[in-house]
Amino acid sequence: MRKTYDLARVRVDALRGVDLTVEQGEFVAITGPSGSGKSTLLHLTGALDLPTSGTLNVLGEMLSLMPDDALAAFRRRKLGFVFQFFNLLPTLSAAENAALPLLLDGTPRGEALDRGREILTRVGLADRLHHRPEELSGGQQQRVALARALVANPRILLADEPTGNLDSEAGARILDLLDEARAQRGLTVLLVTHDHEVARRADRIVRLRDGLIESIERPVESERALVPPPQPSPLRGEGVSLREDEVP
Amino acid sequence: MRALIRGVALRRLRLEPGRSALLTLGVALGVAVFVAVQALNQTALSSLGGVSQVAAGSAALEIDGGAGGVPLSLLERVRATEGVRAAAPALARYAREAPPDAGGDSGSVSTERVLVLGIDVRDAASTLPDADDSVQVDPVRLLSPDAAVVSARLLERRGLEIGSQLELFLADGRRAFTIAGSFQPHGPISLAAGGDIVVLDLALAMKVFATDGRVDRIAIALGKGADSDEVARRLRSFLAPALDAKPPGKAVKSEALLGTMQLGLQLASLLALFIGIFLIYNAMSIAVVRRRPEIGVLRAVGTTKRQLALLFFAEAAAFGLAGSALGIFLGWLLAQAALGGVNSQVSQLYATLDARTAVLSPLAIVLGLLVGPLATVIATAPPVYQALTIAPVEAARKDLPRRDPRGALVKLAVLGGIVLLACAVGFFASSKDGFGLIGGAVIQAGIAGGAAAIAPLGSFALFGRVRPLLARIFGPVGALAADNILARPGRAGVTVAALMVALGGVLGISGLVTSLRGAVESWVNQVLSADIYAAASTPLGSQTNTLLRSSVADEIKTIEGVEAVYPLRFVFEDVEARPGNGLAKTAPALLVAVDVDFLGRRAHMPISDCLPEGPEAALGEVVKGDAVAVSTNLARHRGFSAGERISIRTPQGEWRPRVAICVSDFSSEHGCIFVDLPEYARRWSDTNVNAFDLFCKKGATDPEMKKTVERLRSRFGPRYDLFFTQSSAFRLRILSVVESAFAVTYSMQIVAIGVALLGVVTTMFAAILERTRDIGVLRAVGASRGHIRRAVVTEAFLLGAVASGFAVTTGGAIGITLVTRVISGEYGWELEYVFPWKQAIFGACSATVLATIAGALPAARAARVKIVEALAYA
Repeated sequence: MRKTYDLARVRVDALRGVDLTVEQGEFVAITGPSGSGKSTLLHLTGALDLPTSGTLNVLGEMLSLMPDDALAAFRRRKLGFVFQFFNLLPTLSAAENAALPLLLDGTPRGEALDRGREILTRVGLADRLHHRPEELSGGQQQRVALARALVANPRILLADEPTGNLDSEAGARILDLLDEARAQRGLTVLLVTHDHEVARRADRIVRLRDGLIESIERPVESERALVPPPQPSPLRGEGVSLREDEVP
Repeated sequence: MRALIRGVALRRLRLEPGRSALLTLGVALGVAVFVAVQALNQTALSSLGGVSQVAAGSAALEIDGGAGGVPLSLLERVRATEGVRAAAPALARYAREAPPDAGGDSGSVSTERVLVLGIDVRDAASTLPDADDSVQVDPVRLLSPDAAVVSARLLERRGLEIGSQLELFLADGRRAFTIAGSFQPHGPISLAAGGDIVVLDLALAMKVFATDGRVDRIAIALGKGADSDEVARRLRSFLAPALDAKPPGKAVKSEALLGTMQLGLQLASLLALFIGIFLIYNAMSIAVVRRRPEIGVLRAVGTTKRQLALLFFAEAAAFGLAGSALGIFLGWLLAQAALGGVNSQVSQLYATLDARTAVLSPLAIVLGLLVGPLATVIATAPPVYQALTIAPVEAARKDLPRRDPRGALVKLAVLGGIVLLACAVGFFASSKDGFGLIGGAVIQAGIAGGAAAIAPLGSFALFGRVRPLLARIFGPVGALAADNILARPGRAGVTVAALMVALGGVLGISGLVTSLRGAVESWVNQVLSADIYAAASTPLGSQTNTLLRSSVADEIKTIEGVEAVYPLRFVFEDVEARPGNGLAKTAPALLVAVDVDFLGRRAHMPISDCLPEGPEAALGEVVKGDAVAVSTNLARHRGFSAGERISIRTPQGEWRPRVAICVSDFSSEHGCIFVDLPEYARRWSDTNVNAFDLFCKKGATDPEMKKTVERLRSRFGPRYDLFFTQSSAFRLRILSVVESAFAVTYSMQIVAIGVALLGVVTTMFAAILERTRDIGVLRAVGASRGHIRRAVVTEAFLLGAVASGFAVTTGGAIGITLVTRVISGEYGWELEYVFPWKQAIFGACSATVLATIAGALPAARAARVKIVEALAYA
């Protein structure tokens, strides 16, 4: 798969031929220096953009052949995104932000908000349901973003530097929640990071450089064992809709 | 500084052509309406003034006799006066062409009006009106008794040549003239009748227009070294009291007549400009938002606040100048398009106007060039102030916390509330006599400005309340639309205010028209009692009809089915006004000369004041010749009541009849004086008439009256250019005059609505720019392009709907002020305000739909946003 950007007077080859298969339920960390194509790979996988050439098959769908509306429906039903800068809508409450994919998908408002509130409760924000993003800390905002990413029971979660804008404690909590969700749902996770500690949690680490895969490695068990085990989290409670048979 | 302007401002203009174009268009439309109004006023005045300046040439003095004219018998004595080098009498009248098969409403050919000038061709001081060496004359034909010299344009339009015959409708009916020459007119006179001018020898002109030995004026050139004041004094020593020798009037009378219309148009133009300022404010605040990081960088590298301010103001002035240049051109086009309406409005209400090319004076161009940059700089000041208060480090931040705007909105609303309160106090403190146009304009501006200041807070509060409802009705799209408005209440409020003021202005005028129409309708039903109405050259009788001899009435009476014919003469004459009414000592009023017996027995005019002896005796006084009937609005506005004497200018000097009776009348905003026709003929030495009221035989059925009309048309239409209209159709025509009187003002205000709708477009674009990242997020979490489009269109719909709702209230307040205070104060008409429901519903729905449509373009742009780029947007 290739991706080229035509800028005003320059042509930038963001991905120059990447061939990668990710298995269902796998946790893949994508690392590499700035400008190596990490985010581009994530964006293409998440149907936010289309490759210039090559094929992209996600969950059996050839994304480059799908019309725009179908891509939008694919994103809200099968994918979840977590961004470095949280990207919550500033005018919506935490509950509305969390319920947004469902609201956009036509779920009745009451039901969507109930599910948004429920998942926020699971990530420990029961007392922040009606707060707007600017009234929340960075860690809390990222938990709302994670709730939004999981509310529609997606099959794949894409995270772009999810801890990059958080302090270590808040970052660790987000990663624990991610592990938790993955462990319960068999969720496939693609995570872009600069942080080696974060990458070590993955099943595979894909290193990119100059738009090409430089290496793919599996963290040795001893290294993975150094990663602290997931702490009990609210996501372990009953009623979390992360089972595969509930995936639309 | 130059480098800064070149490197930053100008480069931005190139990089953002859409914003640049929109801003330029906004300025251009505002300036266009302003310039169009200047051009229309100037054209009307120049055209009317040009006619009144015929043969004045380089005259230092003129003797003007008003409606009664100046006796030509004075000419020799004027010429013999010491200090007078030359004296040129002149006569100017409009007449309709009379090609075969044309005439009245029986003709099959539409005819045009020409301006007929009568000048003394034998006198050296007289020249063809501002003609140059393009004059071509056949000396032999010039000697013929029916010779006419015509403008080259008329020759060309009619395909005539020297020696051809040209027929015109005149006082004695059709009359043919032999074309003896042609000329190319220049100057103001060339505006009249589109340059279709016919010049006749003065004696011939006086004969065909039946002026009974009178001319309009005598222009006087002074000898070398003569003092004009001294010469004027000598002339006054033998002139009748009604005549005066003074420097050429420069259309003073025209200004007095057109003052109301001019002010109405000026207000409409200021409204458009005011709304243009809103639009510019919006567009410039977008620039500030977009350039926040750039401002941070510039400040960080040492650019001073003053330099930044200059940068923005220079850019604003450049837009203003470009918009002004375009606006001047658009303004001329607009004026040209509206000229027909102005011609019709002025001709129906004041004096014959037939200008066909809009004049753009150098002053109007200079004003246009000044007003655009000035408005732009004023509108730019708030966003620039905002830009300069951002600290460099803050400006560069992506996640700059937004300031809570509520404090500013509340302050603005309090200010608006104070202004509205002051308006309310002014309204209720004023008596029913109301206030004049200027006071009315101030109150209306106060209402519009106060409401505009409250609108942002009002819309903020309203959207906050209805958000849950919108979320239920429109789903997430509705909630997002409301949220987007709530997130930037200032900008949304400005857009709502602009649309509200524009639509409110239109609804204010609509209220006036509806109220006036209602009053006029009930008046015509009560007063118009004739079965058939006849008038020459136009269907309605007014001071602008071609004059006919009163003996035509006798001819009409011979037609089968006609029982009685009453001739009418309409003329504007100077009439006294008491001090304290906002008028000069004398002001023009419409003199209606009519058979007062007819007035008393047939017209059933509502009486508001009368001599103690009763209406019958009062009318008897009028017939005796020492009294007049006046319209209620004239009596109120000029401070007269029954029994008092009022001064009227006549060719024989001042006449001071008693006011015998005051009757309700809507014929003229300047007020009417009803004089017995024989008395008028005697005092004004004028036996011509403008129109006739016809009564059919008692018991005549409608089909019989129709037959009578057919007979009248076939007999008199082609001969005298007479129009015959049955009662019901005539009433409708009069009501249509009420509507058309405000047509031009309406059209200017509709342009203002267009400007406000452009404001919706810029607001939506601004909102999209500011929310690019949010749009990217929405798309990333699964919003389709349709979702985004619907959210933006819903937002535009909400802005339009709220603005329309507010406009209904504002328009109502403006309308009530106009009807119950301005009209009563300025014209003396006491009207009952009628809310224009139909127009309000139609206007509100239209504005909402148009605002929604205006949101379509930004919506399409929002839907095209590339997700990845949007997520990276600062």
